[in-house]
Amino acid sequence: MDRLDFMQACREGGRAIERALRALDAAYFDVLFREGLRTLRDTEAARDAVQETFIKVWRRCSTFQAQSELLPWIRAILRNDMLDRMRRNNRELSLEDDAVSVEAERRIDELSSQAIAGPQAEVRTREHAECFQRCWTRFEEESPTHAAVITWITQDGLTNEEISRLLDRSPGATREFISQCRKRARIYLVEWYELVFGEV
Amino acid sequence: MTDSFDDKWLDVLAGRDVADDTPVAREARALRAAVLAQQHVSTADMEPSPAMNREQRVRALLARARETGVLPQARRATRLWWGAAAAGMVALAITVPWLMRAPGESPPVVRTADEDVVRLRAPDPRALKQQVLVELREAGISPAGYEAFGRQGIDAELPQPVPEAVRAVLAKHRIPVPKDSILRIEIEAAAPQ
Repeated sequence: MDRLDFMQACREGGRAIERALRALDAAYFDVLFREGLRTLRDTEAARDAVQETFIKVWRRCSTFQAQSELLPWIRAILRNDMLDRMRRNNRELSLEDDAVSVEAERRIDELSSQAIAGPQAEVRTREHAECFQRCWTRFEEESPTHAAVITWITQDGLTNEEISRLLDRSPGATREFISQCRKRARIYLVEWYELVFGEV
Repeated sequence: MTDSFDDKWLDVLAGRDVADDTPVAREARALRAAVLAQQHVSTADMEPSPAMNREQRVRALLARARETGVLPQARRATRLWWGAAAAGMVALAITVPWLMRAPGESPPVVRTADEDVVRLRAPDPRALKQQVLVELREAGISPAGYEAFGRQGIDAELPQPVPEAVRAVLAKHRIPVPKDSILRIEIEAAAPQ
């Protein structure tokens, strides 16, 4: 969908919005649904999140800036919606008093300091991929917002400022959240880290 | 670890500063490669569910837009026409099942019809939705269930002619066979008896 058409529909309202909603669905549903499904792991929740996002898009259309791209703007609204859903579900487990955290940190520091072959080549092996999948699934189940944000950082190269806007947190709170992401990844992925860094 | 480790980790994870070869950078680089590889694999078989085709989806979206005030409600003349039609169907939908109700049958389910949506009321809407979904699936079709604004809903595209097994499920729940191939059901919570 062309962003100028979008902005015009936003100004006109009424039937123009109906046409634009149809156009948005045709242009972006599939790509947003996949992202929703990847993050929420539930077909109905993903479809609901995308439809809710399209509604929010129209509630906020006057804030869309002409120089921006439409899809990243809509995707940010979807991600924000998904973070809200995950927070409402309150599935995050606390890291407090987790003794494995300290041991995992120490072990990974030790392993990643060793001279190793290129980890990207290692990751491609089936064993590593299966191990990662197993660890990552648990990470997503028990710490979904951190896993989701790590995925989005990786996919879109998010900066500190962009993560701060996404989370709607202060820069300081965002730094703390990123630190938590790194620590939680170490805990949940420790088995995979050992496999990747420990085989050389 | 200090903030600088987190900053380095973030930069490498995001694909920036990739020439760095410190331990934290290696760790982030490995994680980045694994996440990207996993995303590539996991999206390969993630196609949107065929249970809800595009037209059904758009209708649900527009209905939601009307409910939330993003779109104006349907025009008054249309509403009046449908209001009259719906009133007649409501009377039929409530009276006939009530007269035909088997002795001791419970809990009560109230049925109305508005435009092309069959609206049901049941003490436990989610349970009724799940029951209808299971039965329709067993009848050989692929309905999509959803939940929006406190309502449980089912959308399904019916093969034509509508198979006997599907007709039997609809008849069991006293849901009329739709005139076109689209079955749309919404279930709200009934007031406590």
